[in-house]
Amino acid sequence: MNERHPNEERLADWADRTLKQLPARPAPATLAPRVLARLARQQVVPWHRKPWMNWPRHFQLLSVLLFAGIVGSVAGLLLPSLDAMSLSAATTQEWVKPVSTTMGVLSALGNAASLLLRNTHSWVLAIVLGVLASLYFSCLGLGAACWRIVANTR
Amino acid sequence: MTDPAPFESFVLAYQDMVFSTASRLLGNDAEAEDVAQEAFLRAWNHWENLAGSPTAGGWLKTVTRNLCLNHLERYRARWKMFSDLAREDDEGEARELDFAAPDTLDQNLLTRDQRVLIETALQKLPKDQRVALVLYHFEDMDYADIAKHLRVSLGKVKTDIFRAREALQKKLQPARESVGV
Repeated sequence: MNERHPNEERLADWADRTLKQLPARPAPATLAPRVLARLARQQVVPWHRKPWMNWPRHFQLLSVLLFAGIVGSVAGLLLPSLDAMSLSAATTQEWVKPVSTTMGVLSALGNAASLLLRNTHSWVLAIVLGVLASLYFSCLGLGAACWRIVANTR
Repeated sequence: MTDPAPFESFVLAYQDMVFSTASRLLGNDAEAEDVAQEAFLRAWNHWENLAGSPTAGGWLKTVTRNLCLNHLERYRARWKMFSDLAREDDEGEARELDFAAPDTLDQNLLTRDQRVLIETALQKLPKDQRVALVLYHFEDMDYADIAKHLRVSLGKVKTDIFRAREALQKKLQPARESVGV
């Protein structure tokens, strides 16, 4: 049913009539000077210090070509020499050592966590998760409150 | 380099419209001023096409509206849970709003006090209700368009607008009687 109740219709008409009578709210006196000051600052900044999107079109095109040229040249120079590179087993082991140590620690921690999970009752887990979630939302709420205070005092 | 003088006149001519649109949609004057500034900076970037164009005002209004909706969307997920609570907490706080002097006889139908009352009531509506109501009555968008822009269901838009009107009616009962309904 899309038909509106007569009272609803009257309310809609009243709201429309009332709201449409509202004049525009005057902008704060600071708005126009803010906009113009920002434009003046923008105009003083040389093109190469502006965001890339605001560069003149020909410089944008030139920069894309230049970038493609550099990437192409570097790739062209490096790819053949990569084939020629060979690493000794000792050097490779030296490089991999810190990674393998970290991996060992991580896998031990993972095993401990899985053991703990298997031997813990599900209701204990639920409580722990609940506490963690409430801590998270408390932090979020506190952040929101701080943000509102800061935003309202701007 | 473009001459900024005509642009300055453009800013002065449209600043009230841009600020009104932003402040009614966002319900916050400080954020509205930031969005208004951004809208004018975008206008400057398109100044070659906008200067002297009869559709410049419409373009600016659409850009302002979209910037506001983007702004609201950006903060929606993060602050949704808390914003409505905070707004209810602010209920008792009366804030004075500024109004331009009326320049037509029609605008005199509402007194200054009534206009302050309405704008204050608008700002205090829950965000979802205020945005839907403003898009419907000030931006002349239909329900389907609003639902599409806000990415919510048509039913929610209708309910939000109905509740917003009801809330306004309750808050403005004396004003309503004096404008005659």
